[in-house]
Amino acid sequence: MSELTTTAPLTARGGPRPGARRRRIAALSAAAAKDAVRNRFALFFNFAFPLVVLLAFEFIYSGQHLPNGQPYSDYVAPGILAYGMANGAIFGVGYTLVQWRASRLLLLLKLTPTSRLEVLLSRYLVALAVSLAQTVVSVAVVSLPPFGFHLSVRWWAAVPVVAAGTAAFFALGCLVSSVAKTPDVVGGIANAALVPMAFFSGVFFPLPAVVGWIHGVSTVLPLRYLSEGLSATLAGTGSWHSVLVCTAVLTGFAVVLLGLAAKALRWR
Amino acid sequence: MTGPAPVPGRRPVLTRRTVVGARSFDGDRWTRLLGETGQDTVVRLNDAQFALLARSDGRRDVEEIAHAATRAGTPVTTGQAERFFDSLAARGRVRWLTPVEDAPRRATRPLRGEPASAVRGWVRVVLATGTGSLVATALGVVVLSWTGVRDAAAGRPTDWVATVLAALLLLPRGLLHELAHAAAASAVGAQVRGIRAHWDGRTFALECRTSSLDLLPRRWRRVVVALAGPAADLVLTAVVGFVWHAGWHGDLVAQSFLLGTVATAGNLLVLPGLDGHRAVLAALGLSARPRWTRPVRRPATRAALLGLAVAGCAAALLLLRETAVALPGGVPALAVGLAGLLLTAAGHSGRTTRPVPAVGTRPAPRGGRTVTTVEHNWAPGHAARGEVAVAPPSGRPLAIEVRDVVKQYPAVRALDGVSFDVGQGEFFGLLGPNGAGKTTLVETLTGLATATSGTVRVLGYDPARREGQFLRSIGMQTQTPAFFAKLTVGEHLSTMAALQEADPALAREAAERVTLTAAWDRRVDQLSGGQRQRVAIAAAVLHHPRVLFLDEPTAALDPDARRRLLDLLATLRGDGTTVVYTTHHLSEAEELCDRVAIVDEGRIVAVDRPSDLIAREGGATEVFVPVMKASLTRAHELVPGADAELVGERVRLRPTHLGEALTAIEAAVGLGGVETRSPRLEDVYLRLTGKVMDDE
Repeated sequence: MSELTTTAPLTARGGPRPGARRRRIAALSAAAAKDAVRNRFALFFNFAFPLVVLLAFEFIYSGQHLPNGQPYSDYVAPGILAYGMANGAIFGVGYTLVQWRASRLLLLLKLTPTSRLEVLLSRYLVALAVSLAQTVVSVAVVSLPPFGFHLSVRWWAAVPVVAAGTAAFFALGCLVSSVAKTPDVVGGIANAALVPMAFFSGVFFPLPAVVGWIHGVSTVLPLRYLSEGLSATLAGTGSWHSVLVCTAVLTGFAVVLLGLAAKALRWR
Repeated sequence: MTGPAPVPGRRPVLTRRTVVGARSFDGDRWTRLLGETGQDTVVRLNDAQFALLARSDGRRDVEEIAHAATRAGTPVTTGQAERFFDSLAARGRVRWLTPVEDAPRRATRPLRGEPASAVRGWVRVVLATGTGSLVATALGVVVLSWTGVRDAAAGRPTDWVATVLAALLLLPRGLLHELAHAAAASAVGAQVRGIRAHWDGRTFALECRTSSLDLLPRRWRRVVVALAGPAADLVLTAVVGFVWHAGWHGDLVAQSFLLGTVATAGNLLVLPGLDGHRAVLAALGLSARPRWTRPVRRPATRAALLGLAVAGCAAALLLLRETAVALPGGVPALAVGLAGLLLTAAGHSGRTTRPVPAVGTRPAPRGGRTVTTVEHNWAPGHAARGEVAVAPPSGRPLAIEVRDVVKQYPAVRALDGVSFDVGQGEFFGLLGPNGAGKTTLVETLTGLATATSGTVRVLGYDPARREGQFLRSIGMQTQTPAFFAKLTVGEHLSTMAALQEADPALAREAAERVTLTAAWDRRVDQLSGGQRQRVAIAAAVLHHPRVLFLDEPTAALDPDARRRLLDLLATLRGDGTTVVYTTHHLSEAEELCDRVAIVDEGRIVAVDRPSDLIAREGGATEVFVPVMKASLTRAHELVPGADAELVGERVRLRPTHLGEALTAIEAAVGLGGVETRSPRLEDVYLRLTGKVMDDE
């Protein structure tokens, strides 16, 4: 019997390495990003589909103006971009999480020190990168001479709007993923939620032009704030106050929905 | 050295000179220490140290441990506790006691010194602040509707946006508040251990932790530290008030002012968790958590307090509405401020309700240096339930300890009172048909499932807690391999290395171990079944886990791939890894495993070395004689006393003495066509369960 021979380390490698959490998030983000880039289906829905819809609207309403004198193309571009962004965020994260769960990848992650928050955060970073890329591509295309979108000087303020809006719809996607059992169901639920939301949020036509109750409904829909926020920053319609309110409301949606999603996220 | 023997399932009472069994101090650091070293250990402690060590069970905070010891009758100051733990940690002997690391179920993290943890703290702070503000706002709306004070809220939606923003501004204000506490503590000579975001799943708070505050010789110093935060709040609120008074009547400024005033004033209330309470206690020279506040800290009291808080909030609004509605956004600000304040107070009051383990030490004579000896003799595992021997070969320290584990699903009881031990470095087989409960058992051991009742310890950890150190110490290959399907083998293994906090170079090393380097750049979804299985095993072993769980790794493999995998597994036996190997291929278990447990219908029906099981339970070697050479009657005559039975074209004999039987048969009819068959593991299985393994 020796005295106090308790020198054996706790584990083979001791405590957590410094920066391990950051590396985990980076690794998971990279894996999710590669997954997204190598998935043609996701690429089409994230980039090609919104662009096709946008171009269709631009062609149809080319040269027309709203009653307030604003070119219709300036009005509709941010709205459709918002719709594409919402679609990409909900579908992207919902599909990934359901697929990861169905293939038991989430269980594999549960066997590592990875937390739910890290899983969600890494996936959010990918969604944010996709949203920013969507914005750049869409704005670049509609700014070409045939369409003549007028980019506002305060375009840079779109970044926080995009970040908050992506977070809100990302959180919605997380919630969808916790009720959907298979990846196919995600698309159904996402569309069932998003298409009516697009009509009620003034994505395709100006809210002042619609009946009062739709206006009322739109105040509780995040897509309205994303659309208005993008419009205020990219097309320069609306005030700074409206940018601030849109960002704050979208952040509020994101925080509440993310809180619910983090609780609802199931490993299996 | 004698003392009461540990009673499984009950927390033992420790006295001086007590033999501490493996499961004393149920479940935490002691078990881990003893389980880790597996060596005889003597720790010499005085009574105060002993009390501290006993109270460190499941705790991480020096202050809490000291208070727990004091409450249990051994007065110990936080300073003494800290010096004790520091001295142990400095000698490198008890890293497991370093109180800040590796906290079970607690999420407090310092904001400085550990950048990654700080980020985690901040994320939680931001999330919790935002959610808390919105919830408080919603609560305010409900209260306003209820009290009929609608005019201020309705029609002025921007007030509410401003309220939310003002509530969010409480975050930097709270940080300044804690910095003021820290600066004051530092100035009066206390040790500041950091500012932390505290989050216990229900409430959150920023906290400035000091470690030797109650050692300060003058009470006023403690009062100063307690009041420094509110003083900073006052200054800040005064500045905002001045800006508002100066003419900028913006909603945000007005609401920040109101919210700040309510929060500052409220924080001076004498309620546990608030600064007013701390200041009064310090001024009276009382402990930070005096006994009389214990009732306030009970969950039921907390609930009642919260109810009172909501009622109080409503009453305050009714009283103040005449004044408040005159201010822009006054009512929402008051609602949010009061609700937030009372929620904080209620949250704080519930923080210290952890049960205190019973320890039979008595207060030491003042100044006495009584030596307490705690001795641990590593004995093979505890007595098993029932007749099944569950202990590993004697002398081997335990890696896994399972006691009376039950897992009940709604329709089925998957595990029904399972008990066994696995020694460190053992290759342990779990055998049984599909549906026997093997996978559930492995999932319980790895923390993927939680036992309905019973105790599970792996390397001393409770797997259900998913502690980081535990997860880094185990590896698992699941029955259905899971992958980042669109990634290459290299990318997948590198990702897993990062998730396991392992050196990136280990990914390639793992691929080499499973001979997959040629497939390094191939996508996982393009690999064959055998290659995928090897990728899964590489991912499980790449961080060199101390315990490796393999759940039917050879299922669905062709014979060649299976053989190569078995060769790989054989190499794991040599490197000291504890392996728990689930299979329904009995020949594999016989070949690889040091010991096997046979699982049937959620129970363990036998645990032993394969050879011992076969010798004990397998029955006699069988002799088959062609019926053309000897009929059943003739066979009976040749080998009297042996069981004889006609099986097809042969007579099967089970002689008591094989040699004598063969000699008799050879003399009578010759040995041509005669075959013998030694008992194997499947015979044991058949005998114990009455079932035939269908795949062998």
